Amino acid sequence: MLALVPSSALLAALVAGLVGAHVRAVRSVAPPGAGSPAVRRAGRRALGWRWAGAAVGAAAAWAVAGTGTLGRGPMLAPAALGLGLLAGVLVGELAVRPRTAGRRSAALAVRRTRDVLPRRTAVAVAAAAVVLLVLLATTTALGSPDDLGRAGRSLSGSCSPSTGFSSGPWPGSYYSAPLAAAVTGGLLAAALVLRRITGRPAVGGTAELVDADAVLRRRAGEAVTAACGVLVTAPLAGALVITVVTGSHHPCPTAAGTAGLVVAGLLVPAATGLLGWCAAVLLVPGTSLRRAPVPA
Amino acid sequence: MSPVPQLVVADDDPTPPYEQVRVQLAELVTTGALRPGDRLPPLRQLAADLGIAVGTVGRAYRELEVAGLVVSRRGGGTRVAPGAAVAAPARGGARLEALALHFASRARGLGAGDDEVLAAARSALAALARDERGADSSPAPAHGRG
Repeated sequence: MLALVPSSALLAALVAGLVGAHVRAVRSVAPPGAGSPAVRRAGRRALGWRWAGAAVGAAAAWAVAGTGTLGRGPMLAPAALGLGLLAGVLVGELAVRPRTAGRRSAALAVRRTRDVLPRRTAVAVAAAAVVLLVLLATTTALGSPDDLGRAGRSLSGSCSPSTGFSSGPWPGSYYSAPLAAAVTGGLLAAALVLRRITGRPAVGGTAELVDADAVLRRRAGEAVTAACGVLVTAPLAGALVITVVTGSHHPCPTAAGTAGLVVAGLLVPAATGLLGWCAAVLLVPGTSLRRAPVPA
Repeated sequence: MSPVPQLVVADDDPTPPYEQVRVQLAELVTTGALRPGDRLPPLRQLAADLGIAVGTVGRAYRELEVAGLVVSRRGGGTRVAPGAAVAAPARGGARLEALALHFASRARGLGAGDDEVLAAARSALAALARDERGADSSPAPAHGRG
């Protein structure tokens, strides 16, 4: 019974942390006194849908993690979480309906996708996606069938004509094909959500409302970027670790192979750190937009 | 940084929405509020923000293009025409024409006939003249104290 106390305390602390983060997030979506009630309402509604998407994504990730064989389920779980997060953002943006009655105003400014993205985080996530692509292409090219003939599940080779070597698991085609499909699908979904974020109706056309509306759009863009970060960096960190561990078992590595493993090892903390940053951004909207203008 | 120009569409205005958009955009171009090369919002964006159909904004853009005030390129969006630079802010005649067009369009929307519109314009000019005469004949305000 006493053994349950630490885990219960940990769970309570986690729940308290999430509630605190949520309260802070609700307040930060539209600072008190900023914008109009319509802006604050739209901000709260969007945030509510984002949390609902996170909950659905977490449930989907849990379900996906329990499926698949030889670790493919857990590998695809972050993609399920990311897709849930993206769905939440999309529904939140779809909830903003156009004004069709009375006097409506619109600013004559062109909204662009790059204006709603947090620049540094987006660049880091894009770089992580490129690294994942290069890593998967390399490991797929080097993969071999395992002892049961499953293609691309082990790393094989020979140091001499008489000695063979085979080690696994290895992130070859057995893992890389479904992972690449899931990540590509997630990134395409993110592109569609970004299109909706810039294209959805504005909550108002006055200068003050345009500014407040821009903040809401940037926070939605931030959530999409962070969701992509989770989608990319979680499998990247896992694939890097497995590559380093399995690759280090090679009995006669080449100089290029050793250098590749060193680089992969150095990238593990970078990918993990970016994953943590994206999780923080999702928990506390506005984290990556501290320098963005906030409606007065 | 100059404020971003805005468009307004009102349901209680009898002028059709496409005409409201066209007149306001023409005025912004001819008064120099929108400069040559400035990009106008995409049709879908402006239609969503104003709560009107995409085709309504498209009609306004087409008529502005026919008038030589904007140019549209596939994939490049709609921009204020380079020619509008010379024609618009520098030439008082074009500005006056745009203002008159705006006034006439609104007056026509209220159901006024040509004679009534002209009479209203003459009446407004007369009122302005009276104001100016009044300002000229009134004593000059004292500047400073003592």
